Amino acid sequence: MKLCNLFKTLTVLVLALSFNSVSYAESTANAKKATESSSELAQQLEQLKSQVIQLNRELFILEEDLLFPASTQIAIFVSVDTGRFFALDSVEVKINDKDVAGFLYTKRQRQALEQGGIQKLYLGNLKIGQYQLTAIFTGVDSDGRMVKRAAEYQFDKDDESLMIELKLVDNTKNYRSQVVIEEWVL
Amino acid sequence: MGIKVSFTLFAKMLLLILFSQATVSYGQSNQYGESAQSDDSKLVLQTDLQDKYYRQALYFYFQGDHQQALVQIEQSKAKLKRLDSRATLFAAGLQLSAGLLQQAKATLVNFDALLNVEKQRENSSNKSAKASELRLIALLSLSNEYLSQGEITQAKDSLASIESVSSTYYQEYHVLTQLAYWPDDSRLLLVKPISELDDTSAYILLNEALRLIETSQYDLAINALKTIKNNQWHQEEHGFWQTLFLNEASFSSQRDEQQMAILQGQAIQDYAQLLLAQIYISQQRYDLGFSELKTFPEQSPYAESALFLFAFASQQVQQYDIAFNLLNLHYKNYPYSQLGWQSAELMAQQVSDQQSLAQGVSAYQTVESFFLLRQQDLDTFSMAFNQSINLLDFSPSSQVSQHKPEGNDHYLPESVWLQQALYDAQLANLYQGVIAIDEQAQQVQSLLDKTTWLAEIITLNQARKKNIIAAKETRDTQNVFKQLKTERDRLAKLLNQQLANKQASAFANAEERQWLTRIARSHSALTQIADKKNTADYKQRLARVEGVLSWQLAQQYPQRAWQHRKQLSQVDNAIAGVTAQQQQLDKIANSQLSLELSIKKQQQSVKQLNLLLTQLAQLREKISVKIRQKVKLYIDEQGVVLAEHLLSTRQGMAKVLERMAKADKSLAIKLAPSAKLAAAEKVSTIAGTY
Repeated sequence: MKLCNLFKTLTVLVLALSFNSVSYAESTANAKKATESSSELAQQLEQLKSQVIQLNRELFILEEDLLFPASTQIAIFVSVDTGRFFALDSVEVKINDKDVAGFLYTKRQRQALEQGGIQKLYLGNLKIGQYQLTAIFTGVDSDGRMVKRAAEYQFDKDDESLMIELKLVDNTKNYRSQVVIEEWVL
Repeated sequence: MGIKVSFTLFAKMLLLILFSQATVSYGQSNQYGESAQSDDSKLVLQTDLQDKYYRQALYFYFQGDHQQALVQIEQSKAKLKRLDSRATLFAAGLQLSAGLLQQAKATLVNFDALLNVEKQRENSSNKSAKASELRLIALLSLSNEYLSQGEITQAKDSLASIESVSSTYYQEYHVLTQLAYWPDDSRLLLVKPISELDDTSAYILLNEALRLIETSQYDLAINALKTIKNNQWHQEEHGFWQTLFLNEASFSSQRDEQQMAILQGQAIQDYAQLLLAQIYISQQRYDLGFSELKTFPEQSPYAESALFLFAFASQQVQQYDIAFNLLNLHYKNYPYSQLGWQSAELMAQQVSDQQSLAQGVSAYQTVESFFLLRQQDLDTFSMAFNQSINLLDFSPSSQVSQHKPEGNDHYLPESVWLQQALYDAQLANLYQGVIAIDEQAQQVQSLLDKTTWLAEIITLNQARKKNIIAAKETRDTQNVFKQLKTERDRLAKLLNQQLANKQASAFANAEERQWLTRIARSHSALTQIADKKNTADYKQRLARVEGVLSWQLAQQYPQRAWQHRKQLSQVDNAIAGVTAQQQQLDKIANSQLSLELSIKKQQQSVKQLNLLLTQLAQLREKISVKIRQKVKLYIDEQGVVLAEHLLSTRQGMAKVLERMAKADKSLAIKLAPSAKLAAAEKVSTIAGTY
């Protein structure tokens, strides 16, 4: 008799330990009353979390408005095609021969770019005028050799915010990567 | 003054103005987001900003930083005013992983409507195929959401609105339907998959087997479990959306992912094997249960349960040596588990049944001291836990700091009692809540620091603005600017005149001008001395010089005329630039609004953040009280179970001693009647102490 009870305990334990979702459905009705208070607390926490996110967003916009107003704002982004012919290692950006941004990539960051991510590399201020941007990418080609790819771009900064994307594109015709610069049309 | 000199001066003045206005870099602007498009740019294809912002969030997501990805998508929403269906679904997935269930639910509820709007806008079949896939994912996620909150009816409604399911999502769909209709058979309600499935997945089969066990259809359940056990299961490849909504741990390499897939496949098979053995044992087919568990892997996550079942089955098939060793091993390996405690008792019972009574007493004594030790442990744990002020500081495991899971922190205590208590999902959730509160408080604190910094920037901006207004007033730039424009117009008029006259000397340089002056002077000198001296030779020479100079000027004329026109257009451009800056400056000087708005926003944020900190602290306190209640309940329960085991052990021991007394008594009667009484008394005394 005792062993029989013991076995029942074991059955419940095994089911509970191993398949949460199934045992959940089974015990939902019973647990609902008991968890009412816990779920209230969870809801309160959720509300607070979402308020934090909202405040974070508002402060970010306020910060950007104050530090990088649209009239002077310039943002530079980096994106990578599949990265078949060029494993990105670092990037260097100059505006009018002056270094403005540089970045060394970890494997994970490189993979994030290769999977379709776009990195905001630089956010700064520029006065109205004409400028020259130089981007130098360093990486390893498909033969494992260290290579550099560079591109130059002339642009005019007016009183609207300016966004430039540096794209590392795979060229299947010559099995090389090339830097393509795209100015976002806002 | 020649035109060239005037241009040089003019350019210098422009530079001066430009320099004075360069301080505008921190000026206020509220133009962000307003799409003030020029006529020219309307012709250019607009960049798909939804895609660009979405991919910025992806950059963080693929690095495993889900929190930052969510922040990024929220910022994109604020900038773009709305998100497209893809980004909305992505946001919902991130919200789910951040524990924002209500928000995710709201996002997913609106998703269907958003998708319909997009479907109407784009008639491409490819897009609509994608849209239906996204709709399916949304409905599955919503059902999952309802199920996790116990809202079964709503979950059923969501599942019922699914019209078609591709094979990729069929497993999730099947499992969710089964959960929604548990324990009823939901197979007839299922929508058929679009494409033929090559085989049922292990999860579907396992769920099916569990349903069959629940409805006592053991033969069918055994067949299903045997299939799971004997087949080789390969992990289905999960697409991006499945991975996002399943919230699977992100792996640093493909090898790790494959390794995990193998382990998961093995775990499913182990579980099937365990269930199979359990059915056999419940049907009293102990030999089958025994042979099933004989090959159970030692490293399986279900080893504890399997070991116990195996020991029990061994006893039933009279493999006593194996049973003894297994029970001994079990209670020593799992000294804090209830199965372990049962093993200890079973072991003592078996010893007293199978071996000598003296050995039985000794085994019971060992088990008794084992339980006493556990009780002592439990008391110590209870006292230490009650004395702890910060729950997360209580018995933290060193493993946590070394192998901190990326993105999602879990509290792993050193104390085995608390580890056991945390098997309770509610308690684990409460602990997770405390961790989340601490994280949020940390984030709020960093936001407060940011507001302090923003206040400093605002002060700096105010000072700059004040300086700009003051400089504007003292310099009277408007007047200077007006003068410059007048001067430009005068120069333009002059240039036009010169160009119209086509007078080559108009664009002479300083040297040539000197020569022209000298020639004019020579002409006048020759005229004065013409009566006194023969000047024919001089005049001839002068005419030659004049001729050469005129020829040179005529040669240079087109180039110089072009240069001047070019300089004028440069001046025009510079004026246009200065005008734009001037307007910007005026705008900044005249509009108090944007800076005041920023001050207001900053002050509001500080208030809200302080309020949030207070609310977080209050909530932490509430959750801590709840955790303490739950842990106390757990301790009491364990105490009761331990006391029961101790009592039952002592009863078992008393029975053995009684048997010993009886045996001694009968022996004493056989040996000597006089010794009978003394021996019986001795045994009774020993038994009485227990």
